[in-house]
Amino acid sequence: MSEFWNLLWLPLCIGGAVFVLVAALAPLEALTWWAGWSSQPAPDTPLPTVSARADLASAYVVYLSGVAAIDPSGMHPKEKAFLDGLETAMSDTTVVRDVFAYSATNNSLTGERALSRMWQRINALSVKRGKRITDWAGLGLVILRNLTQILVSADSRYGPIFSFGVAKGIAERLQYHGYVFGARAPVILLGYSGGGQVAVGSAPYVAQILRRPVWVIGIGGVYSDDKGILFVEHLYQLTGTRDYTWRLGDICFPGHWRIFPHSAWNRARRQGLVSFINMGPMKHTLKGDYFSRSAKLPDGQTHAAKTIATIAELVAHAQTQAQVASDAKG
Amino acid sequence: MGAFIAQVWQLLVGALTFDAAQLGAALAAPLQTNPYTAVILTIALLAGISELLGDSVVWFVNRVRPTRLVVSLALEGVLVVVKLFFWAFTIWLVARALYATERALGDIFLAVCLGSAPFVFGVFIFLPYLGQGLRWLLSVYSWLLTVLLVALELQFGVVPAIVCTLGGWLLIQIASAVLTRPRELFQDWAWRKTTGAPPLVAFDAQLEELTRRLQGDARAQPKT
Repeated sequence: MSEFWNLLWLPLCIGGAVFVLVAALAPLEALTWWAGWSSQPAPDTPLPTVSARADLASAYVVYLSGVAAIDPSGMHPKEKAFLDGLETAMSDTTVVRDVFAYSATNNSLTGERALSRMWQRINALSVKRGKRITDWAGLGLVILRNLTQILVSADSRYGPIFSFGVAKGIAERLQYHGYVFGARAPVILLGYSGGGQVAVGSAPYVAQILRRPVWVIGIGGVYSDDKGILFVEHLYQLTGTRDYTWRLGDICFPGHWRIFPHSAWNRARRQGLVSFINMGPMKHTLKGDYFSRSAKLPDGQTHAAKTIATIAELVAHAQTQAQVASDAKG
Repeated sequence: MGAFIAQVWQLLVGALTFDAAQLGAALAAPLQTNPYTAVILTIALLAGISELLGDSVVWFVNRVRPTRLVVSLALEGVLVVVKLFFWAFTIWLVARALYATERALGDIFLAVCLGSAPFVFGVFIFLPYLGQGLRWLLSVYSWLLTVLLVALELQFGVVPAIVCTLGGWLLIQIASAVLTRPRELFQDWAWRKTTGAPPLVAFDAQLEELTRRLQGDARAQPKT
């Protein structure tokens, strides 16, 4: 037993030190941006003026990727194919896919930042992932970096700054894709895995900037006990029976525990703001996940097709709700 | 210098491990003649600096210029000492009133300073999410250590030591509630003087103003 520990303690210590270092640096991006110390445009930089377009979409879905995301423009082919499928299924809906969920300044890892060359290299290797151990180490580093940004989002001290930054990025990209402030079209934040927490965290600020309600759809989303959940119109959580990752939120964040009935998460559950949708035997990631085109459900439908159909249905439902609310207002 | 650092390290480890024999020896003599006074104050200073760094989010939120940070840090350091002194004073008051002790205030101040030792890990309060839980953990750790140190200092049992530290804490809460407005005025004044930033504004108020401006900009876009 002692030999086992002798072998284990050094990697554990190194792992712990790396985690503490990465976590300690994590809030700095959002904080220095807010304080005006970074090279990124300041928080009070006006949103770019974009001419309104005649071909308004009937709904806007903003996709926030999972913790393995490096650069929205260099998405993994499986994820990209899934979003293409989503666009095809909802031809009147605009899918905004150029928001990087793990940065308060919508600055992807390959963007203008100190370690961008390292991330670019990891991104280039990510497509042929699985060949070498270094590829997996690179992926681990990306996940660790983005995971600590989820902790920033979940933190009541840094979370509002981070979430406001993400919300501003979302508003900018929505405008770029033709959204007009005050439009009737609903805005739906679609968060995969850790993107779910980022969606819930930023939803109140998106709603505040747009002055419109915001819906959130989580694909195996992992959530903290962020107060933002009380400000979403509704959270639809898609869960696979073979996906155990989304339950991490229930374990790691005390606000999910029943002994804290007044936490935001538990209040939202009681108020009926959260719905869980069973997706069948889907996994969180890799073969058989929500985006899988090869894995099939017992009824013969591919996982990707089922996920797309479910999201399209929910978006249609949000459209109806937005329409009703708008009509009621006159 | 090396010997002094070794003493600081030794006493710090003793405090963190609740080594009653070592702590009792460090607090045996009165403040003026205690050979450990400088060592204890150094530990309190290290703990204070570490905690301040852990709490540095307040400077970012209020957009303090980097050049003003040092001045602001110094003022916050003074405030930490004032807080420790005030806690020692309230413990001393309760101990005198309830248990008629004759121990000098300075000696209890030393005990309270040493009780802040767990906050040498205070810098980790900066860690996202985990830092918030850590703050509670360190506060409880520090309180338990202070109870032990007060018991050693006043040669009390555990219960009177708990009564004194809790009584002191209660007095601080009462004073804090009564003196809220003057405290806020002083904090605002000190903040403006040291940071050069406008008075402290709640983060929510800052965001509301910012959102209003963004909405104004967005509304101004031309319609086609």
